[in-house]
Amino acid sequence: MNAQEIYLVVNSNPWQALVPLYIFFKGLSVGALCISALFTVFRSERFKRLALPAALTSLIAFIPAPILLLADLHQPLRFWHLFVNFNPTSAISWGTWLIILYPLCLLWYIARLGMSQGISLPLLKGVQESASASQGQRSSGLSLRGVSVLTLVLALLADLYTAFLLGVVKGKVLWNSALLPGYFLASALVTGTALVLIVYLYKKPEEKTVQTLARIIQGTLVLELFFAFSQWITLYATNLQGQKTVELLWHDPKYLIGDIFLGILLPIVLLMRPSVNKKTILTISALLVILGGLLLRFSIVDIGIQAAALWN
Amino acid sequence: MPAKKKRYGMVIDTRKCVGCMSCTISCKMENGVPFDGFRAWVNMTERGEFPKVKRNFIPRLCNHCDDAPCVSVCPVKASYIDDDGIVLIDQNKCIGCGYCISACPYSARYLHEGLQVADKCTFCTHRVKAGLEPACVHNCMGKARIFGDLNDPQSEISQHIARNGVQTLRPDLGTNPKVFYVDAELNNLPNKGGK
Repeated sequence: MNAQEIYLVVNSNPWQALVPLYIFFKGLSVGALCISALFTVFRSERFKRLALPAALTSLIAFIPAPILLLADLHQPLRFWHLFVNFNPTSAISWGTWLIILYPLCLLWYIARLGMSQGISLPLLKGVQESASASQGQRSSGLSLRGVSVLTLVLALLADLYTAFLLGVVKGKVLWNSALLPGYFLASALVTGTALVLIVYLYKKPEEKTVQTLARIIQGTLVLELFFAFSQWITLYATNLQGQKTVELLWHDPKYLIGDIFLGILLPIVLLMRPSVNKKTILTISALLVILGGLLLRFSIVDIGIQAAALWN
Repeated sequence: MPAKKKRYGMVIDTRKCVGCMSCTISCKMENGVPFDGFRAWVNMTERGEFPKVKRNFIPRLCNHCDDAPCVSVCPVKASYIDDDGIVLIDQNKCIGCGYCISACPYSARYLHEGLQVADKCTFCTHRVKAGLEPACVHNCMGKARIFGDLNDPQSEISQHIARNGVQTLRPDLGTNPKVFYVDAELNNLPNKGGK
């Protein structure tokens, strides 16, 4: 016996381009900060010269995020309701405070990092002066390492909350996955590193550092591929809704061509023998990685909504 | 002994639904629902092969879940469950972030194009407070909808639930809807693997 739907109403979802763009820019910032933290938190001397440029890249990449978030609110003038109505079961409530604390801490981190390297940052003069005063008084101010750890933790939480924001939504199998936080974090790390690589390539780069950055990108892309495969296999095995979701993913050019092929597989190959002399190839690879990360966010948000609508 | 709180719900007996859409229209008229949003609607499927074909109607609305996902995700507590168990939105508080719309597994919410806030079925709470039935119930020509207090065992809705086998939409999600269906053949829908 055949069955077919002849009239199906699905109320449209208001989440359009701004939500994936917000998730993307935040990820870019967090990824760049992770590179900076390789020196300040994990004490890798190779990244000493790169720590400040990476942190500044992280700050600049973050700037569009709150603007996009505010623009996505259909009642933007009521944004202050978020500060006076905290709902502990809402990921957005937590995220609101994280995306306020993270950039503040990032500014503090950049100011302290600049001071430790003897670099005066005109825009952060006030922050540097107050940090210097607190150091002079030997007050309870945190050390650079302490500030770095705090900023890194806030950055990771700020990135992860969006994965949980989607992950806790009931009835959307693509989002409702334990893989999503890891997947988003890997994508954030790889896009942020790619952006730092582009910045670094035009700042008298050292061969070894460029090679290490390329290896980090390659390794994280392989990790991303692992998450993608795991997602396909688990979704396909779960139920019919999962199967339909995988089919939608595979039929989405943003995902299959944009993210998987152009954003992951091609850069893995192009970065096989990284060298400062191959500046153009490295730049193209990094741009492809960033493009892939952007398209991944778009496809995860779009397909998640589309697949759930099929099941309405 | 204090009177037990009311817990409003609805039963939709799909055996009596003829797909006339009077629920959709009366809801739009009663509540000023904009053109591109629906508080109440009717999904339709056809099953079988000619000449043995049957058309199924599944009237839909907000399920007024006891464990409503829209309430738990709202960052400003604009979505809430009132004392009578009806899920409502404080539209003066809503910031229009759309999280509740994404979080509703029944697609029962939409963004009101005029007000720029989330909107949904209220069980016509203004009519209920005045002692009337919701507009969709009042105007259902097949009398397929029964509205009432689920906490009152003598109410028509409780009696109907006791006498008939009822289903809810997506019980696997644990949202505990208060909208029940009789003979809806929900699991035979094509998008759920039905043939």
